[in-house]
Amino acid sequence: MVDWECDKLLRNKAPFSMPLEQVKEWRFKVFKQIFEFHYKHCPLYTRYCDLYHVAPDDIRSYSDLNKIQPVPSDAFRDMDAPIISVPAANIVFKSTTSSTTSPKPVWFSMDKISMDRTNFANRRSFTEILGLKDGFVFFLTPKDSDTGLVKGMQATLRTIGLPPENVDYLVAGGEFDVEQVIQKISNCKTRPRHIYGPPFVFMRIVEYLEANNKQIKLDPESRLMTTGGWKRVQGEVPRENFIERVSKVFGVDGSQIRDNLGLTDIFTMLPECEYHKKHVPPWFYISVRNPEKTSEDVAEGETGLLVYMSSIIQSYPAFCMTGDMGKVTEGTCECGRTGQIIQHMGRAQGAGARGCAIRLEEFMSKIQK
Amino acid sequence: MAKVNPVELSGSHQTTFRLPLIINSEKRFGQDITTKSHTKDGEVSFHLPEISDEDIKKISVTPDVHELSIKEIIDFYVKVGKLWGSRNYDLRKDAVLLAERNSGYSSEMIEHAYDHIAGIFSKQFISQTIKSEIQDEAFLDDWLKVDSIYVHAQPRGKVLHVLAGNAPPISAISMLRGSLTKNSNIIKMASGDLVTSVYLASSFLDVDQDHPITKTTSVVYWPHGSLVEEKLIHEANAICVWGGKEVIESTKAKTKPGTELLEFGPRRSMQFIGREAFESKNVLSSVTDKAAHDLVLFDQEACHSPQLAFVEGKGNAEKFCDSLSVSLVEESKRLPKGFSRGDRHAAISHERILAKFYGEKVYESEKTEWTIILSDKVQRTQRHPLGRVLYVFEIPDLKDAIHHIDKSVQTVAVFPEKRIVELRDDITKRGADRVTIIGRMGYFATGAPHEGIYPLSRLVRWVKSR
Repeated sequence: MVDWECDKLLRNKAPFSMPLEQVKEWRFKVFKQIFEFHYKHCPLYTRYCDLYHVAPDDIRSYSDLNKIQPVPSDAFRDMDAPIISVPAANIVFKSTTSSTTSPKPVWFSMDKISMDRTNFANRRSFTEILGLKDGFVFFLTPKDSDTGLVKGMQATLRTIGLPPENVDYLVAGGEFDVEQVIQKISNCKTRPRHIYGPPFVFMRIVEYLEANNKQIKLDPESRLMTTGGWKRVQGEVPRENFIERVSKVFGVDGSQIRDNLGLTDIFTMLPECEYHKKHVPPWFYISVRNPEKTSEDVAEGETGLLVYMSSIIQSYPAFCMTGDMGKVTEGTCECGRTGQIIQHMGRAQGAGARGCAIRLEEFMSKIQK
Repeated sequence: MAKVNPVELSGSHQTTFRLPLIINSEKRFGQDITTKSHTKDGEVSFHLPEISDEDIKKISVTPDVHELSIKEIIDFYVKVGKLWGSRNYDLRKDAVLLAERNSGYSSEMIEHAYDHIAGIFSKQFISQTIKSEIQDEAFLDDWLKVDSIYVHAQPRGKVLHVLAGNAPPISAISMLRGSLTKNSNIIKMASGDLVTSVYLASSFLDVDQDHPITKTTSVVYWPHGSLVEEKLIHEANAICVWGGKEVIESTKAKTKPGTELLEFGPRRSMQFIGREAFESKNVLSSVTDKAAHDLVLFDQEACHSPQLAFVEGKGNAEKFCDSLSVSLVEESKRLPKGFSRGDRHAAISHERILAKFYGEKVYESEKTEWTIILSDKVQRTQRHPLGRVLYVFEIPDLKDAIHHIDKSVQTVAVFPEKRIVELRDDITKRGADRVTIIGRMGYFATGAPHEGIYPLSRLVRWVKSR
């Protein structure tokens, strides 16, 4: 029986505000252990690491975490055998993300232990960083969407114990009736009321309310959560302007408007804090590699190729290189939380555009008709 | 000789440049539009004026050059070609400096492209082009008796060239076609090559500032989606559009019925390497030297750039990759790779690690200069990162590669040349337009049709008389 360090970390009293040195000590311990586990139990990953001459003994310090060999996300699509580090019989859930460049979806397999840990971790992020504990959540999406954007949030809400009757979906049959949406939100008796959706759909409501000189007064604990689809409004509505306009028409403070970074490859969402920074919990690690030489990391704060790493998934080597570009800084935020802060900058040109962004474009074109 | 520098160049560290529009030989500067390029030295800005209603009015009344004889037109371009044939020609020297900052290509690549332009403007190339496409150049000057009638090639009027920025010779070949058919030219520069057309048209002034071709050539720019675009598309009698799917579809949608539209792109290309390449080490290295040249030319951004290579015979693919790796090291010294943004490097790195995870063999430079992936998954090459990445597949017989060809394939280069005869019918039936030899994928052969058509014959109206 493995004595998992990550289980201890997950139950730490203050995982988001421990001193930076302590964050690093924990990260080193949990990632060294999980890397050893995958290296030992996933033959495909072992062969691949051997090709790069990377083995568990090479991980001797915190900075060595950047030596852990990332797996390209697309590899989870085309392999004949599943990429797993546990017996196939232990897999209890398979998540897919779709692709525009291949008819085959990308599969990630979860065993019960990984699933329980991930749910627990996401609950901590949502309650302790986002501040969403109860209330009613309106999705500005269809219910049956199979995008990570919708499925990820549904799963997270389940983990924080929100009953299904406290969730409603405001897009049905490709229709988005702004007046009806406003009515539903206004008439909801459960408090606080939260709204979740892609920014361009928020803008539909904002534009309608502005044009009609109306306001919906939400609650002091409300969260207006966005994810994905920024491309659609960027250029037309800069983020600062988006926050200003949304806060005005919904009668909330700017700090209640939070963007989330959905990382479907490691089953998580990184919500923003009240200062609009996306914190990386200590059980995750984001390594930023030199785009020209991925065996090297870039200097802190420099743009590079992101590797999303999870120490709490044991069912597959969750060290995923998706093709996303971005920056990571490490330190103490104005909000008092410590650790890594990520700034996502988009996808590498040529890497397969997967998941939510494209699917949202399709959704967008439907509701604009 | 009147020397007309289109741009003020004040030093090698300059990061802001003003480029003119040229309206029927007259230059006009302005700062209405700014385009930015990312280079190895950082961001570079190019300021250009917006096209005014007055400009459009001048363009709309620009006559064709029907009164010129074809000989006069050829002589004019040959003179331009002679100027561009010298690496010491002042305008060419400035164009190289500026194009490096705009396109990101290395100066060596741009010099190579400009040498190619000088070749396009040679008497031999032009005469052979006319002969192949029009049969007899006299059709352009006169009425020729064909059976019982007289036939003449009339210009269509104004040809709009919507250019792509991936290969500088496109500017030269497109404007040459417009002029050989005695049309006036409206050249819309691509943001990726704001330099070549302006400098070519400026060199017209060095040849003869009063020449009718000089006086009827306009070089313009507008950002994507500008209202000017529709106005100039409406003014044109024929349009040559080069580039990606988006620009071609957008231009097509705006083109009025009756306007001749010639499309060039987007396509991809392949190499077929027969077992004969492995007869000796010398033969193999000669083949891979040429294959390397095809791959590095314009950093694989062009339609004619090979993205896949099929190698015939068991065990030969590895030998091909080994030898090609050596050739690519050398060819990359001769024609260094240009500047790429971080996300382009990332896309290549991503493909490399994906290939390694699949257990495929990857041959690679230390950074992302070049990559060869020995693969068995043709399907995934639809998502290609470009930037000198070649997927190599081993096949028992070259004929086994034919089913991978479809209409997206422009050029197939075959080694040895003698195998072309056995393959060309099947290759072109599947949709490819051109079968050529290794090492010549990036060059317009004299007398060759382009993308399935003879462009000159489409840029004239064939008229008849009793």
